Amino acid sequence: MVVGLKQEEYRIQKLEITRQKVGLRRDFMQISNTVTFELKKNSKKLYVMLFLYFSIFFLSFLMNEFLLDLMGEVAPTGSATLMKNYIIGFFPMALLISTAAFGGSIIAEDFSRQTGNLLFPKISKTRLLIGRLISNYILNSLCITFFYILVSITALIKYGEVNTAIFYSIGWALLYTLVLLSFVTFLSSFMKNTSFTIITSIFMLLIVMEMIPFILNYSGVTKNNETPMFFVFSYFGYIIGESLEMPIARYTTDLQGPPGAQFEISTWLTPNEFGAALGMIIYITIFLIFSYILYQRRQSKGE
Amino acid sequence: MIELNIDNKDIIIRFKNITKKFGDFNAVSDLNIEIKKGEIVGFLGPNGAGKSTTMKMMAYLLKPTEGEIWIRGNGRLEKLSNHNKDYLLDNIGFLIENPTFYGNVTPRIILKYFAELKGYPKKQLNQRIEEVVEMFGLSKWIDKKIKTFSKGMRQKIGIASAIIHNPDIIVLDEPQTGLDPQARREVRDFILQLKKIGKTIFLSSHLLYEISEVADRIAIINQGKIVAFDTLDNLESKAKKSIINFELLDHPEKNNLNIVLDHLRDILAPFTGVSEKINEVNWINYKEEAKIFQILFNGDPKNQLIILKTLLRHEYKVIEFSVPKAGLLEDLFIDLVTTGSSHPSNSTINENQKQKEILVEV
Repeated sequence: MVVGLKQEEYRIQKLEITRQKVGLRRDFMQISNTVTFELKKNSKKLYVMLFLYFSIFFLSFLMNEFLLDLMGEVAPTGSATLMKNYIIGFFPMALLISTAAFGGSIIAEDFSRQTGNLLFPKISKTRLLIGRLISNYILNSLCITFFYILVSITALIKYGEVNTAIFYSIGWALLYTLVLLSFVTFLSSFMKNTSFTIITSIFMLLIVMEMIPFILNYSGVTKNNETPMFFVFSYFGYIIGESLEMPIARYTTDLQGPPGAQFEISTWLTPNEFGAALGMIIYITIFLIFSYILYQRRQSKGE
Repeated sequence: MIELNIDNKDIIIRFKNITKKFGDFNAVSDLNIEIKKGEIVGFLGPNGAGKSTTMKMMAYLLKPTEGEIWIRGNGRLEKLSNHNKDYLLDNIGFLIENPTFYGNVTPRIILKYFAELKGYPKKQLNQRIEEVVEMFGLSKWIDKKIKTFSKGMRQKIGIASAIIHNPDIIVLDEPQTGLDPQARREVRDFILQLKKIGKTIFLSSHLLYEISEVADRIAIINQGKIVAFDTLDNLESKAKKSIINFELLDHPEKNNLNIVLDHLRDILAPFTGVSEKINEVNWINYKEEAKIFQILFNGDPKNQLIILKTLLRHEYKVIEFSVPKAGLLEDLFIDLVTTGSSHPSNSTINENQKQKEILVEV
């Protein structure tokens, strides 16, 4: 193995190096290096997710261009409505899947696959976590932007214009992605492995989070209750699509129940801008703080 | 408690009264080790003895329940703490347990990342990566995905990742585990090469031969306690016995093997230097697979020479005659780990104890 021993010795001895000193600058460099490395590491995943978003777009395109007519639905009257149709269709599901796929490995992987033995103590957990969050967020944002570009091009071709509300929508989508990524990171901090984190995240976000408002509504707990669903964080995601054509009333009311015993239920369409921003920031903070604490505890147990 | 002699410039790492508890379980108890600059210290113990826990404490991945770890940085020993860990650990390369690699990256990408994390100068980075990979004979694989690598190749990349930033101290936790003989030999040669260029190496293993081949001093740990810490020669002399391997030009036939063995017993018995009680046991053997004879003796080079002369005098055509380094140190190791921590052979502790006594006298 050791080819030309003396030559190698000479080479190594000649390499007198001056390492960058530890300190704030090194900390930032470590985060930046982690972002770069994670982007390279997840490049294949990015291509798969871009394909997923393209498939979702194509499916929405087929529905909007062909199925609406067949179903007798009214065709979109402007670019905002068209874009809304695309955004509220399969897009939220793609958002959940891509966030879970990118974020599922953030913490769990180091413990399940023992990759932590390679990384520590080369980098601290804090810097590693920040670097990974940034890189996974960038990757997810690229996918989202790609989808919005496809939608914008479609709107431009069809209506000759792109409604500027799309910028609000993409802004909300990017903020909501951070909520989802924080939630997935939180799950990743105590889950056994990446696959289990991804599956649990998708299950929680697609089923549990959707079921809670449904159960509350139909159980009568929220009867005549005008309190928004701020306790279900997926509710904040509704603003992504609705911000393209913000409804005047933020909820609809329907009569439910058998004749004679009917009751009124409120179905919340979207939070308002201030509530959405505040709620999402609170959720991001809570999830990330808990993730960090659990990550630290998990490490100190000597796993 | 031991007294620290912080002026001793030879010492590069010092574990001082280290204890680590997980709940009620004592993973490491009152561990004291000093590692000198440029030496290879083997850390030997059975699985679960506390080797990895000790190394993780050194890497600041676990905090000691009691005690201190001192590491030399900028010419003086400094106590490892949260405040100075980044700076002190910069000069150490760690390979802890069996790391798993990210399969879809290449050695170039991952080594670059690790070197950058340690602040390696960017201008010299590519040259360094190529050189380190070349040292392991993996130049052709530098841009191949790690998922296509064999276990041995991955382990080499693991060691490469520990030295990529050119640290002065290298900590290797069971680096040869799971490797085939060829790869083990390569890793061993590489460790010796690192020593030649002045690196200090702290190497753990549960395999005696792995340690005895390279280590200058061996610390034996069992149930979290250091039961022996000394040079290989001193430990062997404590074992009071060793093994001679020799091979004859004409290998004995099966039908006359017993005759040869009886003759060897007759002529060599007076020179083995081992007690009669041991002599009663089968002190001379023939290893059919390796075609070698093995003789138990007291480890004294004089006896070794007399045995060789006796064999030659009786016209045995000896073509190989050697005393393997590990010898019957294995017996001592087994004795130590089975009898617990009562063995009084921790020379460093004794040395420190002496220092303490001197300080008390002053």
